Amino acid sequence: MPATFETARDEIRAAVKTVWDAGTTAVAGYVPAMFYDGVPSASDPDPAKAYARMNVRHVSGRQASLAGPDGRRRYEKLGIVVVSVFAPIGAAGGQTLGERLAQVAKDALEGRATASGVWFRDAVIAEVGASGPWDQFDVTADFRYDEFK
Amino acid sequence: MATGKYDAQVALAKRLLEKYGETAKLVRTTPGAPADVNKPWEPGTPGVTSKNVSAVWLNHSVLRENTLAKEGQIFAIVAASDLTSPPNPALDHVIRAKGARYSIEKSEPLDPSGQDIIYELTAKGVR
Repeated sequence: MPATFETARDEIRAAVKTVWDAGTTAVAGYVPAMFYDGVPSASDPDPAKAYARMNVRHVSGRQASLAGPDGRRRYEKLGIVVVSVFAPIGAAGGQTLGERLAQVAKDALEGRATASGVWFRDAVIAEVGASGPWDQFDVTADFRYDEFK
Repeated sequence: MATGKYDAQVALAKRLLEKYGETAKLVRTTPGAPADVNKPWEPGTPGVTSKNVSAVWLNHSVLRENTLAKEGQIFAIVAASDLTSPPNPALDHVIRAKGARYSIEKSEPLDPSGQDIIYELTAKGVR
């Protein structure tokens, strides 16, 4: 099933959420809250706990093929997914906690693909530094998929 | 109602804002629970509540002379005693008495000793 703008977004978010929900308890002892760009939240993050924020950003696109026998063309879409991980600076193992949680997020993306063909590549963890009471790590990965129409 | 050190100022602010301001409506849109727990980024039907508030509206030249207020921004001073919780820019918007809607960009309390007297809202018209 080829991806669409909507399925790509859903699958990218789900790819991270699935691994995040399954893998973070072993690291933090709880599942840190995940916030999504553009989705309002009734509550603010708890400064005593880690949390993460995910952004999916399409960056560019191009026609990647001529029309086939059915008249359909392939359009390649490229973008970046950013998972910003925030670990409380004062918590036990603060920076290590942040690094391990960022690793969970990176593992959700690196070398992976979704059911409709969203591919992730060049995943990396970048140390951002202190952000209020949290130590921030940004996990970024490029993604690409094809739309047919 | 709990008493605080600044109860008199809270009441004074409310009285003056009622006298010199207008009754605006603070509307809160609370995201609904997602229909699919695996898609928390797709909230369900939101809950919408509104509350009348006494507010004075000011343009930036009155309130913030020589500051870099952005074009289109307007400021409102709202009585804290009209609200049970501070305005939340992520969830709330304001409707003036004449019907114009404004999103809230920032909400700052005047809260000596932690008791909220007024909220100063930085708002922008919703086109």
